[in-house]
Amino acid sequence: MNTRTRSWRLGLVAAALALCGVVAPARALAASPAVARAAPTSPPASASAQAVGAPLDEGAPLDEGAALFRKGEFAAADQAWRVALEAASTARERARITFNLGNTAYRRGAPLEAVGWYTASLEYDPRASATLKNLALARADAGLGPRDSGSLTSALARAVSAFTPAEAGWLALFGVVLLAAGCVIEAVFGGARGRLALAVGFLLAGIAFGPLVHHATRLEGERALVADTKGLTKRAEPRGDAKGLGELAPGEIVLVRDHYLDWTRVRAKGGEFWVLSAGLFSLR
Amino acid sequence: MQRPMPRFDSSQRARATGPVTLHAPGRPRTAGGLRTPAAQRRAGHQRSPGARVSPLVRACAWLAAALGLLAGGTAVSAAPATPLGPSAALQGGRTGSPTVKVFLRNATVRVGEAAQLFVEVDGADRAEILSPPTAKGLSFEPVSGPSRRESYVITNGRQQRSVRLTFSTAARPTAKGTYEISPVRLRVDGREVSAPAEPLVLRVVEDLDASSMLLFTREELPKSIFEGEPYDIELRFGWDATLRAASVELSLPWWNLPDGVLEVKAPVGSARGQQGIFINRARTPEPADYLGQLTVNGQTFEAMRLRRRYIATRPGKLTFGQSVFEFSQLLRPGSVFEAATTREFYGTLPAFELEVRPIPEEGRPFEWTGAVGRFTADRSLDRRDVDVGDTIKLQVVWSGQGNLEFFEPPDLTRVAGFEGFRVLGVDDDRDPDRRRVVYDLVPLRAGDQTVPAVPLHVFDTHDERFVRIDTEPLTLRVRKVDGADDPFANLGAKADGSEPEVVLDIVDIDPTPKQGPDPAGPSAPLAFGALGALLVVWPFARRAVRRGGDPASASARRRRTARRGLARALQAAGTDPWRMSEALAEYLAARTGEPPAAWVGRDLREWRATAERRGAAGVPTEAALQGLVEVVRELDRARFAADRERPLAGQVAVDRGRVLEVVDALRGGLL
Repeated sequence: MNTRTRSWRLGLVAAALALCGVVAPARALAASPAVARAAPTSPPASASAQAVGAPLDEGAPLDEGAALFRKGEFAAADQAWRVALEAASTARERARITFNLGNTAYRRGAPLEAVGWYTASLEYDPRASATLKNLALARADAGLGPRDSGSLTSALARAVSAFTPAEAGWLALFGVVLLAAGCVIEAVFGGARGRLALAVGFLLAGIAFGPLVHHATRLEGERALVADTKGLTKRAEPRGDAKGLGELAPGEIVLVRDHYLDWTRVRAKGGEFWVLSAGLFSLR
Repeated sequence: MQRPMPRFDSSQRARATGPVTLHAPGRPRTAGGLRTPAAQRRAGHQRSPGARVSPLVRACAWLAAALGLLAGGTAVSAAPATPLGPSAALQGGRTGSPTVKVFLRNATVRVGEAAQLFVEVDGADRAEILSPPTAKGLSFEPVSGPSRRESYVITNGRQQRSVRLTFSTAARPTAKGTYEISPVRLRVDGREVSAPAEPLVLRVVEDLDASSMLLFTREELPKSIFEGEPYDIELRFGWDATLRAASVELSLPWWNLPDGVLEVKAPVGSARGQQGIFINRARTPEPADYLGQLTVNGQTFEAMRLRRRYIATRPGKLTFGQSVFEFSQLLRPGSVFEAATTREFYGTLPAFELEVRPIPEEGRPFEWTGAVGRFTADRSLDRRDVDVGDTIKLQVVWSGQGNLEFFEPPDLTRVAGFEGFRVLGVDDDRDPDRRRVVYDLVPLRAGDQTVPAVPLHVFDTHDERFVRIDTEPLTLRVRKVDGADDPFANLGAKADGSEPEVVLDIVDIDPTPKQGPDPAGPSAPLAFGALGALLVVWPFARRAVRRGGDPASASARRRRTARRGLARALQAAGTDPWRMSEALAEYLAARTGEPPAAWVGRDLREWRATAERRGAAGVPTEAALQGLVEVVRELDRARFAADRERPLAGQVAVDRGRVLEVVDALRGGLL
């Protein structure tokens, strides 16, 4: 083995380590809500002042909906937040507004609508603990079962859907880095340990790519939640006298494919069907 | 002194009745057992009439027949002769057409003995039974067959072929009398025939010998029992101790439980062990207690006992048909040339009935949970001095005669007096002789407390009324512990037993608008592209890295670990110049892939010049090599300045640090 080989080895290892060192902080920096929150409008000083004992909303820039909500005017708050939702341009803001709309619906005594809003909020912020908690409560009040059935499939689905597309991209890239490290170790050191490192690299990369694959293979389009407590009858044609093909259960999420008068064509388990639009809650 | 269980000549019986397995005392049998030849035939070994010959004799007959056929001119039959016996024959079909013969092996049989019926069809290639024989009071087994037998007769070169199809079935009468067996309908070569023209008559008589040679009794049962009340059926059976047993079997028509009857575990059997007994020609034996020798009316019997416990779950009348005890006496053991000779005895037990009465509604308490019988109750606590919040185990044991396995134990959360305790769980252990229930209790209040009586409402079958059985109360000291007055305050319960109001509400709104852009991340194409690029580049990069050879090879590993080995060897060498030189040679050999001897006495400058001329990569410079040259020279000087046995210890000018410093300066290249 000569000096060139040695320098190759060192160079590859150094590159892999550098990649690991650079990517991880970058990802953490980009994904950290604390950093993002502290950036332009919420100085850390005011945040700490809130935590000391002042009323939660005092000093914070309340939006119109929040002010109305505090006064108990839930219908007006709902309207204000709907307008704000139309104007919102970021996923974080849409997650906040849909969460607040869920609270408004819950306070108005419409738990099924609240389930729809919370579910929509989770589309933007899948791991928001407050949203998950409120969703569980709203589902229970609406007579729906828990969102997670507890099965292995359900747990895996929850795991891969717990990341935003941006997080999933970073995670996948991190998986590439891990795989590259495994490749380098295998190439430089060889032997059983090298092969083990390569296998672990492939395994971790596969896991890291899971959320990205989930997002990439997810069908694009408007999603809707069945918000009728009795469920919705699936029909082959958009007519009330068309033959019923079964029921969509309350709380089920479907993909909207088409609209016709009062009917919506949805894609659900078993194919595409027409259901009454009034029983659907759009998660867009 | 206990007498061992009877030992049977298993080799003889194996030839006579099939394999038999005997039990060691106390060990239940799982296979094998004692079985009569008749039962053996019914269990799948049914033979044609007259076929009771040893296998060797039969094989010889076949051999003789084959030899005769080869010799020619002799009538040959492959099967034994048709047995003689009472029969009713019918000429079925047209003259010269196939004939059908239906006959009983024995027109008179003893109660319990198999009455075998055969249907023989001669001169037909195909036959099937359309309606099997029937008789009032008799139950025939499914018809088996046909067995096919063909024979050829060659007389003066003329060949004649005959075919016989044989069906067989059997019935086992359980009561004496005369039975008329209906004709059998068959389809023979496409034509329907019925045979015989007159019904067959079967006479069933009592086995008089059995009454003197066999013991077969039943323990008395009450005339009636109550629904849910257990009852035992105990049969004692045995044979004269002077008889040599070949097989033992019971025919019990009530053995398969009717609807509404459950079998429960009976008390433990005889201390002399158990033996497997075949019942109703089953393929697996049932355990029966061996009782040893019993003397009844001056006669000694080898006795066994079959005991089962049942519970009737619905009122009505239970009928138990006549039971038959089949005993086969071994008269002469069999051999290779002949089958064993046996004699069968059939003991009977009359049919009997049992009335099951319903539990009366009158006086039935609300708390009654299905207990029937006569019970006693006992209780205990695992400890009597506890802290508030500690768990105590209250064990209640009910024992006696009754359906101990089937009633529901009292629910202490509904029993008055247990308000000061929290019931965490119940451990229920069911046994036919006793019922043990362990309640996990937590005392909720401090001070001296009493664990109240645990009541159980039982329907007493002797007095025919409902009674309440209470355990004795127990006293308990509960010490107060700070903060443990209500150990379930956070678990949804209060000390006073009332459920606290559990309040759940949603998390409040987020009033602060989120400013700034969403965190950006690499897109899916970028991530997948990076993955693809890595997978494409990696094979080339790997090949480039490994151009110098396999990094996992022995020489590469030796080269990588040479520095550590040198440091260890120098540490061990101390100031011994011989060992230091050897360590250095070992190191240089590992680095260059040569044997250590190549570096003994080598001219380093010459080596460098040669390597440079060859164009090898990583050749150290002259200046870099100078240090190593000096170290080697110094070690050589120290080595050869004296004997190996008396080196210049402590006078070597180079030490371990200097050697390592020199080799470290050279690392990265050839060295």
